[in-house]
Amino acid sequence: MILLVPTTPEVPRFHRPTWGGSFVVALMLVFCYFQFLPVLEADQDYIDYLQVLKDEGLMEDPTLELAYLAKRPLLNVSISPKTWGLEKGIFSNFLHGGFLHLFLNVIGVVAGVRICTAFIPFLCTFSIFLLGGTFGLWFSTFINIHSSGDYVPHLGASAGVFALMGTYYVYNFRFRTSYFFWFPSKHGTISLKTSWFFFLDVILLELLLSTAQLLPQSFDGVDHIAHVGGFFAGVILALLLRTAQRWPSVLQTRGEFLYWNNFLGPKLKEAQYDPIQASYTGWIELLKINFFNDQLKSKLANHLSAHIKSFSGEQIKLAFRYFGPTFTRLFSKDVAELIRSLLKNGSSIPEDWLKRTPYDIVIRLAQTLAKSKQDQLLVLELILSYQKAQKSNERLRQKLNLLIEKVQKMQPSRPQASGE
Amino acid sequence: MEIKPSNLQETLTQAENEHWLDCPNCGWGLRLASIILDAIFIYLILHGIDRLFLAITLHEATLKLQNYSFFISLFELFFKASFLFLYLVFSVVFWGGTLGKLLLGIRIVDARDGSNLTVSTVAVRLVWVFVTHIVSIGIGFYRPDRRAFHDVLTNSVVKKVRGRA
Repeated sequence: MILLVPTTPEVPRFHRPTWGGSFVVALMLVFCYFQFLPVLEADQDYIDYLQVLKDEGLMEDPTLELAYLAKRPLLNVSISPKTWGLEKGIFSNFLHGGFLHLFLNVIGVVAGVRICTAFIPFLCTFSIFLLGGTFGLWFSTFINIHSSGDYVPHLGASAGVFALMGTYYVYNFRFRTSYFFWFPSKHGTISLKTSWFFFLDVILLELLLSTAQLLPQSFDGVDHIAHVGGFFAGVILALLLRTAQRWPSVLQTRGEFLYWNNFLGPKLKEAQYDPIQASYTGWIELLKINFFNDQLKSKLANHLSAHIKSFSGEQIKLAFRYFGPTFTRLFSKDVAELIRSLLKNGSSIPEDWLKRTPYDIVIRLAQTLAKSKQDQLLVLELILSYQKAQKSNERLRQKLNLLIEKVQKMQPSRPQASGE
Repeated sequence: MEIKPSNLQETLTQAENEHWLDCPNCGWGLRLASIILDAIFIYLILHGIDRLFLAITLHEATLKLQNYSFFISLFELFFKASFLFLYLVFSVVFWGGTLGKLLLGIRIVDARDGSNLTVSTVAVRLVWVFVTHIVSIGIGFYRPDRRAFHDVLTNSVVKKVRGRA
């Protein structure tokens, strides 16, 4: 996660999460670290002294050693497999074993709280951080099967951070996340599908390492089982929250959800309810709020294809304004299906959309149409429409002329080319 | 000699390949960014495989696999080699670029007709990349068409096929 840093869900600028909540939680962690630094130092001195006794042969009895370990200072405020309590469990989220531990978790908390506030209020985010983090830490102590770890304190905010990652994973599952990969220019950010990439970047390695943690020898001092427990707690809490909110799966941001819930839904119900037109109106209104939402665009394209005769030319033109090159490239099947419906209905493809669509994407759409033998005539119509829209681009028109000649040779019947 | 397409799909594929040739050659900034991105993806997967097999090796006694150490090492090598082949060769042959390159809107195509490279060409190109990388990039830096030495040797070119905001 440190190599590819998730910065924000891919949303318009005015939907991007803010920093306020992140800094509040980060400050809490820093405050608690310095407040309990004396306890941490006392614990370290205690353990060092026990080690000295052990080296001098004064602690040979394992039962005696465990009895002394049970009295270590840090266990007054944090949990271990043998000393669990709900208050200590919650409080352990705010304690850290050293400055580096604190620093890495502060980065995680700032990122995690920030990306979650694009979807849920700060109080919900903070509650998930606490509940998920506590569950992760408890899960780790529950799973611990080696007696040598009975009195090892489990602390840190990382289980809570992974709970936030789990929440983000649920809310942004069908959409993309913007990542920064440490390249100092505009090329240093990319957008990747959350469903597979976020899982790979955040949790897959943790799943592998947590399995290794079950075996007697451990690799590192990191509690991977707590991370996994926290992540899945976050996933479950997010699913419960979404179910309680009745959050439609095609909506991405909190802004869209609030608009849908408080304005759009009641407005559509008040008007004379025509389900075909109501769906169209609703999705267009939501796209005005979040024009990055590809799920909505896909639904809109499919809806138009299925009921093409119910919509006017202006309505189709308005819908096409939202089908940018990236959407058309990623959802070429849906757009090709819409174009097929349009052409078969005798309607034309909006010219301004054709004008701004790159040539390779039109070829991709043509390839999708050409898969079906009965639609191969439509390929020529599409290319002719595209040529007509590219009036000012002479070089492209020449390329298209050559392509049209070749395609016409492949057609069973040959409609007139542009200009004939 | 131009190969004449025999059906509509081949015609369209040929048109697409010709379009790739018309796209501008990719600059060094974007190529470097794609290399860094690929390195991150490769590291994530190889690190995961590494940790998994390290865990298995450390606990051979617990898992009763003491007699299979050689095979475990062999499996590890096989997994890593398979992944590297799929990532560095297969993806270039079938999709025109590695994941990092495709995400940044660049493709590696045949400099003669814009088609995807063959397995042997990609493999040879990779060998030249590793053998000559510093010299290769240095030569490419001074060429007007920005083609590195390994590109010239294998008749390939890296094209910027998509603009980025």
